[in-house]
Amino acid sequence: MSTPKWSAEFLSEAQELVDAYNAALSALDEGCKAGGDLDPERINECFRIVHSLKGLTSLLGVPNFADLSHRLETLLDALRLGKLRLHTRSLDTLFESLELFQRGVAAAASERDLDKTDTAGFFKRLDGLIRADLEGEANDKDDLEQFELDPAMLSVLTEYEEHRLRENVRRGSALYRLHGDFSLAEIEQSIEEMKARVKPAGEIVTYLPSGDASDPEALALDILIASRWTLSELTSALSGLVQTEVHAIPRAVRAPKTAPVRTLHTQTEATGESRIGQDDEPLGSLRSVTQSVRVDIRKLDTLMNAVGELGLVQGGLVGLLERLSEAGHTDESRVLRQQVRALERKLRELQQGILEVRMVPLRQIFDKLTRVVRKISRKLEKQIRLEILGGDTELDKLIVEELSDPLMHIIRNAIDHGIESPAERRAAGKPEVGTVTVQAIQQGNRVIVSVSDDGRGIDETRVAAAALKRGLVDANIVRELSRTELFNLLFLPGMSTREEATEWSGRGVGLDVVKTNISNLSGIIDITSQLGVGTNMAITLPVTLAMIQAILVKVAGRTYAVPLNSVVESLTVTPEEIHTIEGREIISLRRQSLRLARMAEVFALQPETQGANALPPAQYYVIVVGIAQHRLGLVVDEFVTQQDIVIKSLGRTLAGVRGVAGATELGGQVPVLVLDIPAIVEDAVARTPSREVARA
Amino acid sequence: MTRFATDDSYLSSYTQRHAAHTAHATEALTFYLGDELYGIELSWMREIAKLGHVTELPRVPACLLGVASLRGLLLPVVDLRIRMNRPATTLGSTARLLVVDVAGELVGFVVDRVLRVMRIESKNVEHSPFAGSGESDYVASVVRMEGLLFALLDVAGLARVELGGA
Repeated sequence: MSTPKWSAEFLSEAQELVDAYNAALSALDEGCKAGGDLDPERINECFRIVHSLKGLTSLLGVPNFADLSHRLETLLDALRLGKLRLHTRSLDTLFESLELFQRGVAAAASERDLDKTDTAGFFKRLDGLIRADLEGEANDKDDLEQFELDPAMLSVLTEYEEHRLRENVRRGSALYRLHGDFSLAEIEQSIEEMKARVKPAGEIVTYLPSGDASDPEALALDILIASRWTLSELTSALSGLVQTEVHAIPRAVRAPKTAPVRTLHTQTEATGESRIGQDDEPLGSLRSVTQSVRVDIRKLDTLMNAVGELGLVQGGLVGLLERLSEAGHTDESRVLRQQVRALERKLRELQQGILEVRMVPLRQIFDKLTRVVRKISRKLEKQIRLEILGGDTELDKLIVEELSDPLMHIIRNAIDHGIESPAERRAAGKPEVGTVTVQAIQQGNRVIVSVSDDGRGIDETRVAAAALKRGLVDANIVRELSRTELFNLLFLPGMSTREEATEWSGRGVGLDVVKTNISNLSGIIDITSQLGVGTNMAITLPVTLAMIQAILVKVAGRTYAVPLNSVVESLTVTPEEIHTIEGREIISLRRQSLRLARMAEVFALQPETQGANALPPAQYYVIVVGIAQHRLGLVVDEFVTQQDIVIKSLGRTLAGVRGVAGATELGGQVPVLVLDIPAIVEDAVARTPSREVARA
Repeated sequence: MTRFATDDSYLSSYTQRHAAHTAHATEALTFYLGDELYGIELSWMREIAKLGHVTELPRVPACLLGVASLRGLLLPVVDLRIRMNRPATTLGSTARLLVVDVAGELVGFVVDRVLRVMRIESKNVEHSPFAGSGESDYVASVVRMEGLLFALLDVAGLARVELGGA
């Protein structure tokens, strides 16, 4: 770099300007903090100083310093003209620039320029501020501030919903809120009907399940409607459909009643109206921050174990109670029974409480999806609208984390394989923008997370062809597979229907990984698809993994616990109902053949008592388990009971014992093994024809 | 499934795992497998428990009896006699579970009878006569003292049971 000698005069002038800038900024800062009317002249003052600095630095021949001044001038200009609002963040940036100026002057004094690395980070933040302005986000906030919207509701809106909300507000719509119960059976029709009725003058911005329905068969929804209708017009439009009242969301007192966006900003500029003070919001939210506590999930596991062991103590008390009452101590046993019942209730409350602490809303991962979808769709040049429903549905923290990757995979697949290009969609008479809907619904102690698209659907003949081509399945077998079974071929390792792999999916490492991950969570995945209409992938998950419900069964004299979340149903079959194909036992269940696995054989168990084998039982007990898309009937000797259990790990040494997920204690320090259903099912299906071919 | 339904596990927490021993001395717990005497350095020991209920595990090597609960803590139970290729006769009332701590994981060793803790001077220790022969993988050294002869065992090696195969 050529370094002309700076005259002392220039340098002192630069220093003076920086000092003046410092003073002007401080005045600006004070003005903001005071919260009163801000003198716009203060911003102008800053602007003028920086403008002078720009001229001076370009004379001095310090390009980086000059660049800094130039960029800052742009920012101040935007602030001055009200294109950008002055708030904490922009003020921080201004103060940061002051520091850089001082460094710049010091560097110039020793005949150097500012280092590019010094300014790079600052420029990035500066660009961020200006871009926010260009995208109109800063302005849009003003629009929404016209309404007294529930911040909790605002925070869960998807990007798209928020965009629609702003769009509507900008067009002068009023906002209405509606809270009501909808019967689970008809909820979809109800929502569709409501959408249709609202449509002439607006739209439903969002409907969020709020989980406080009075009826277990109903789902309470919080509905946000934007409409150009008045409250009475909207109420009459919705009459008969909803029982509850529609409320208008009041406009905030502070904002002018029907001020269009631009006027609002002219005002800011002209009078310096104190919108600045409103940005001290973070202070207001400090309280809610202090009300939550971060907890290591392992601590919760410890608590859960303690509760489980208290359950054992309670079991012991029940035993004592029985002995007391058998011995005729009626008075004592009556009192004890009351106490035991009270203990039981409180224990259940405690258990429930701990489970709830572990629960987090799926929104945590749903929010990330929006970003990913935008990225992928841009890359693949497809237009995607992501619709997210039921983000409030809660799942165990561990499950939510593990779900993130599989969900991402499925969505990539939906966009890459499912949604057609805009041209194809036009030709098919579909809207150019494809819709991917991610929805979470709780059903009892399971949550169903589904990803559906309105794309081309899965062509099972192509799936079969691809599987054949890759040698994953035998031609003779393919011919006999049902449609669902053909879809299930997609879960085979090495399967891909795409000829070329894209960066996003189709590398053949997609769905089999998804399947494995879902299976690890004791989840089930189901595909439904209709050619030309779309595909739906539904993941069914247990709500929690820490405390699970299990069926206790007996096999060859041993007791095992089968996690209920992988149990589809249980039944009894007579020996005559069992058929064999190539030595493998199957039964017919609702016209589908179900493969059987005898637990005693799976675990190679020796019969405990001699002679028990002499007589084959008159009937067998079968537990139908499902992992991902597979079903298997486990044959056991006896169903004992169903109960809540706490799973404990067997530790490192025994981690490799196949078919055992852990153990639980049922009292008297007797560990009972908990079956690892995914592993057992996997071992069983590893011998199905398609896999045999795959492995050959 | 049930082996010995003795409910309480008891006693003798050898908390002095890092017991003060002089530079050339070590302490070992000695016990019998059948009629052979063996020893384990005391630093491995967590406690000696009575053998309670052991839940059998599927498809594991015969020496791995199963999993037991030690006051709510689950640990694998290894029959040291089978592990050491000694005849495994029926366990009597003197049988004990030696709970050892291998890198933070507890493992239980079933032995026929516990003798006592012995203080071993380095002059009493001989190298394993089988070293390098590949005949006995788990004998670390041989101790000769007070008219007794016993092998000090490699606890970490014994605890590492290969699960595959059975």
